[in-house]
Amino acid sequence: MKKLVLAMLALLMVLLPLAAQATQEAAAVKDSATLVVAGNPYRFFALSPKGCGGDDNLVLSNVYDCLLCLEADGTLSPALAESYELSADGLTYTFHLRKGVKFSNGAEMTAEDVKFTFDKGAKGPLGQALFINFDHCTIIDAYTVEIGLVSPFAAFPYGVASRLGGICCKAYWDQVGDEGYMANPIGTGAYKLVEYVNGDHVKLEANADHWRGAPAIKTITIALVADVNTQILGLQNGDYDVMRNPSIEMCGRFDTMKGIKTSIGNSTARVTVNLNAWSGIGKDLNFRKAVQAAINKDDINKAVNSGAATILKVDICPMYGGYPDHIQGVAYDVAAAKAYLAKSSYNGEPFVITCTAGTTYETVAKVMQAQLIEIGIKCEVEAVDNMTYEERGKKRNFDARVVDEASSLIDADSIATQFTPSRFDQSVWYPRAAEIYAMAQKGRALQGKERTDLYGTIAQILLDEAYTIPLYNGINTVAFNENLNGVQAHCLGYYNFRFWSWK
Amino acid sequence: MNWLKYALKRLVLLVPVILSVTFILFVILSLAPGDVARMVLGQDATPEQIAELNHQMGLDRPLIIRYVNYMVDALKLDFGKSWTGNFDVLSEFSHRLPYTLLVSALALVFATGLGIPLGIASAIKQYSLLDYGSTFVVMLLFSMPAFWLGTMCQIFFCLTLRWLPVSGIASWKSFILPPIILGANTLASMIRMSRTSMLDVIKMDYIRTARAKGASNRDVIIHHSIRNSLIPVVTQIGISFAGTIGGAVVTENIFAIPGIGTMLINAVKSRDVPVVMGTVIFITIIVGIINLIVDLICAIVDPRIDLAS
Repeated sequence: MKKLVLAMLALLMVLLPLAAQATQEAAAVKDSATLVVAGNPYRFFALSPKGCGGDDNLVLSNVYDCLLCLEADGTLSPALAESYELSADGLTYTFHLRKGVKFSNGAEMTAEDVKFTFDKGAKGPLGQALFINFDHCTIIDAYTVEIGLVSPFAAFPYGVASRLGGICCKAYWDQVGDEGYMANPIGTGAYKLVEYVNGDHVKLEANADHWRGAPAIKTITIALVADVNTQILGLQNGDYDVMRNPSIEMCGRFDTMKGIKTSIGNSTARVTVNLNAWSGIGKDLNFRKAVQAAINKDDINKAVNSGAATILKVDICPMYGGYPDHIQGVAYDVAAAKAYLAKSSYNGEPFVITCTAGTTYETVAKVMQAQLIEIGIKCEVEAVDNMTYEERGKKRNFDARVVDEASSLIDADSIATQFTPSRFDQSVWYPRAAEIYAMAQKGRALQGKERTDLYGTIAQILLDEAYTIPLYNGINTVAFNENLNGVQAHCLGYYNFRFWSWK
Repeated sequence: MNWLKYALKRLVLLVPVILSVTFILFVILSLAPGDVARMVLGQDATPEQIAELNHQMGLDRPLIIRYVNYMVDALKLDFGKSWTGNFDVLSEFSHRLPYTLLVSALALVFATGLGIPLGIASAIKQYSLLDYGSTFVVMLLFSMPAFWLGTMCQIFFCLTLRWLPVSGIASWKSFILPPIILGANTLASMIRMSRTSMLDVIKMDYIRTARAKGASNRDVIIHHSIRNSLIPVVTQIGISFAGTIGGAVVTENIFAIPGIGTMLINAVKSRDVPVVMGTVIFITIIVGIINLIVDLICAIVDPRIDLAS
């Protein structure tokens, strides 16, 4: 019996070093890189009736090219369109396409593909959000298209550069349809999708004929790993080369480790707190102002982001088009908060902050809870799962709610999201929602200072009415092997793999 | 042919079990908050687009109709398509099941291969250093949760020694740590169960009789004690195998193994009813069949068990 036990142990001892040898041998060759993420990208055709989301962007942004390219810092640069002009009335964009660009199936990209992309995209589930005010796309010649809007919209180019603006091959879609395109996507991007194993990995292969030139790294594998500890250990171990969005705290630890570097950048999201202003104690402006003045954003930023995020004065990120720099936020003032509370009709009833469980927003809610208790509000935190959270948001069933409001368009127009009448039942509208929405609609057509001033007015209303409390600009992080060049946190949370190369 | 009748009877009894489990699950999933169509299409989808997707998913029909339709389709082996992923439930399950079964089977081999000999040796050498050592191991393994033990092993074997990959299924070495972690708890059960069982058997009268007849210690243990002591252990193996399939949910998540455990977790998070329902039905059937096989093996090991009665 002893012999059997010893034999089992001996077998284990033999297997483990053998495995070690194989691991070290495998580490020698490197013309590929592995990005580890928690989300599961699976929708590889943005024009499909099923739309696409943030995780899909990891693939879409590398398989497809847009007419314009959204850089990591939120600026736009030419891509499939070499240049474009906007008509004097702000209604027509004329795009001049790059010649000789090939899809990964060898077909040439022409104006017909652009028209197909915009016509189909505008009708899909993302059309209203990303192709705002789109009316028509007209082919002028094989390399020129005109996109007409129903009314001017200053941020339209950001929609052109969004995931919905990735140019798709019309002839290929005619052959395979939505499902076929989703399974085997064809774009003009720097990479081609070569393998997708649901829940395990996505493999991309460099497009050697890419119009910008062949990417340096031949194969990119996106490994899908739900457990954050495993992601961290895998990065340290060398199993993965890049880790998407480690926590700020973890970034600090990575920075002290040999062989790992990090990059932190502003995202296009703003983290705010929406207050109920249509029922219960939330209807009382003095109560809302008490909550507003009691929040110490610096403390929240320190607790959640180690102080790395940019504090927001208004509910608009500084990188957004139309950002009103001249508006001052509401200062943290406990005395003022107590005075507002004393003037309010608050009777000690529980005030509940809803947030998603297990996220940094739960920490935000808990720090806020302590701050509100300090001024005498009986504050509670309700951390719920994501679906419940979304449901509460949709029905506006909350006292206060920590919100991460991302904007693909990187524009102040995003401020109107909470005030869009069609999104909510009339019984839960903010009292001045219609007025704010109308102003935001007007803002779409304006340019320059006029536009900034208008969004400043909207932001001031939100502060005066204490409908929302802007906290901080979201951040995106990335940790990576120090021998990998070109890795940078992108404002939309994806990566342009064409910039990556090994030292 | 008693065993065949018995097996058929047990398989028939699985039907009400599956119906009960699926119905309860279906009701719970349907009553849970959340708009799946909106989650899939995004916040900016129009009400018409949301309604269209709800119609496609059958969510605009009464709950009981949806359940009956689902079960009728399931009988035709049509478990539907995932609501939040772009895959067919049956083909995805058949793609993932081998990983889960492989890890579970390896875990069981590890646990029984090491646990039974160790338990029996502890019993034979009761109160020896080996006995105390194995008891310590049992207590240690019982008190360590899989997610903690898994992370500790990853740090030691993958990060410090760099012997093994942290996660994935790229090679055979990816299948060393997960079965060990998954089987750790079962190993503790096996050691304890086989030790206790063996101790009971070696105190029996027939063992004393065998010794009195002059049988050698080796003969007594191999021919008289082990077989009889294995009866409760075999039952435990069956229960443990069913348990390891459930436990695989945690282990697969830690080691990023694309088995049915990770699929189930993702599906529950996103209220993906077809995937949750399909997975639970398959797991119920697998566990039912495993239990049946265990009962049949018990009857073979112990002739006193009469399947007919």
